Amino acid sequence: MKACTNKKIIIVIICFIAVVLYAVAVYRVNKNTPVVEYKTIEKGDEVTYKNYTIKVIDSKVYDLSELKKIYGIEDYEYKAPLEDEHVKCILTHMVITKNYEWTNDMDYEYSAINGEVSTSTWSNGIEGDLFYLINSDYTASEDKVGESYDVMVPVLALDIHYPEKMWNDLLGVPTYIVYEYNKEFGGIPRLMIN
Amino acid sequence: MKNQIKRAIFSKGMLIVLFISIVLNALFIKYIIGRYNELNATMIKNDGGIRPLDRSPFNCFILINPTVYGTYYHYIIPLLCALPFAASYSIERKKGYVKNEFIRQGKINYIVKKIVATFISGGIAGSMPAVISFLWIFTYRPYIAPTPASGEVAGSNTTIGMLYFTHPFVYYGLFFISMFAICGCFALIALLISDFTVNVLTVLISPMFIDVVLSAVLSNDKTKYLMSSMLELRREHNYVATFFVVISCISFISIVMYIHNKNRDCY
Repeated sequence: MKACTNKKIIIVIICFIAVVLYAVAVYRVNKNTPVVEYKTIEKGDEVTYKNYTIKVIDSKVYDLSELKKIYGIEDYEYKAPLEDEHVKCILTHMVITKNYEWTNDMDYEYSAINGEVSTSTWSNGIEGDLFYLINSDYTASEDKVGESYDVMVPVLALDIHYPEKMWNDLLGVPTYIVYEYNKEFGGIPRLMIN
Repeated sequence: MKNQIKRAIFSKGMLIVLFISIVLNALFIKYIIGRYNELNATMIKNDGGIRPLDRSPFNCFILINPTVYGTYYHYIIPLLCALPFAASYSIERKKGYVKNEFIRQGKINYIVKKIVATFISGGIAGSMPAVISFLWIFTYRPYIAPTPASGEVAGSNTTIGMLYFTHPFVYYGLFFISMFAICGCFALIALLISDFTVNVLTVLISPMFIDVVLSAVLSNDKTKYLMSSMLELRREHNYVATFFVVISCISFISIVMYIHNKNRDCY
């Protein structure tokens, strides 16, 4: 009887140590990871970053084919990874005001907006080509400090991946843009639409 | 009942399952961390940093991450479920021990206890590698809630699928419960086979064999109602269908065993 009790006590102690070690490991991983701050810019909000001021005017969801017709860019080709995936585009109308002079060490946020870099937005990110085609006037212009520009930010998404409710939210009014601010990489904001 | 469950959980088969779980997960973690570091280096070189959402632990455990170890695990799930206790009935029949038990506690009573213990042990054994993997990955990756922005989804177009984004732990809790039930059913299939044969090897591989044959024979539409297919997290599976499949499986196996054993004299 006594041996059995001792065995139970040993098992309990081992379990307790395992739980504590696990908790410490999880705590250390989370402690060493930089805090990811999310900034939500809702429709109509204005946010000032180091280099830009951004104001979100509106956001709409289109079929990619529909968007191509609107902007007369039928030549634009995009192939979904799978044939049965239907491509949609969330087009966000923003007003960007430049606060800085262009330098070679240009901040990442400019790149993210300009679609030069694939962002973590949805599954496919901002399509750089599509951005240039839609905003040809803006990309061709030499943007000056203090001036505001209308920019349409396109984000492609494959609707097969997203729950129906999420699309309904997007199609409704409270569509908003989230900037993810990651301290780990020197304050790189990344554009996401949520 | 308590004795049977204790025998099932503290069996050698369960130890083997635990060992397989640890080995499989260690290999998986080694592979996934290596791949993550590689990706991180490339991303820093090209883009200035890895996409932080790629580090979310919720889309990175053995059952849903498309790695070779996940595929191995997926195929051996039925075998793992049968390992701890499913063959015990055939062993007891072979040794004649079952006659003593029938006299002591009654035939039907004994079989009911066997069914319950096998179901529980099978559920634990089958879902053990997934649960261990889920817990283990949190010691390597920080808590980052899944968002649609990262393109990671599970069970989309279902009400429960939405929980993945809003309450990921609740989502996985429900998933593991359903997985437990499905794995329990795999073990019951092996128990049913053990009612007809005393060959342990046949009993152990029978759920795996049935699953593979059914997957090969059925069309894609029907395959999604197979128990193994329901374990695929990214499939748009229906928890209601899972519930009905599990209940049907338990009822069918119980009825067949009851009828088969009711007037049986030779064991």
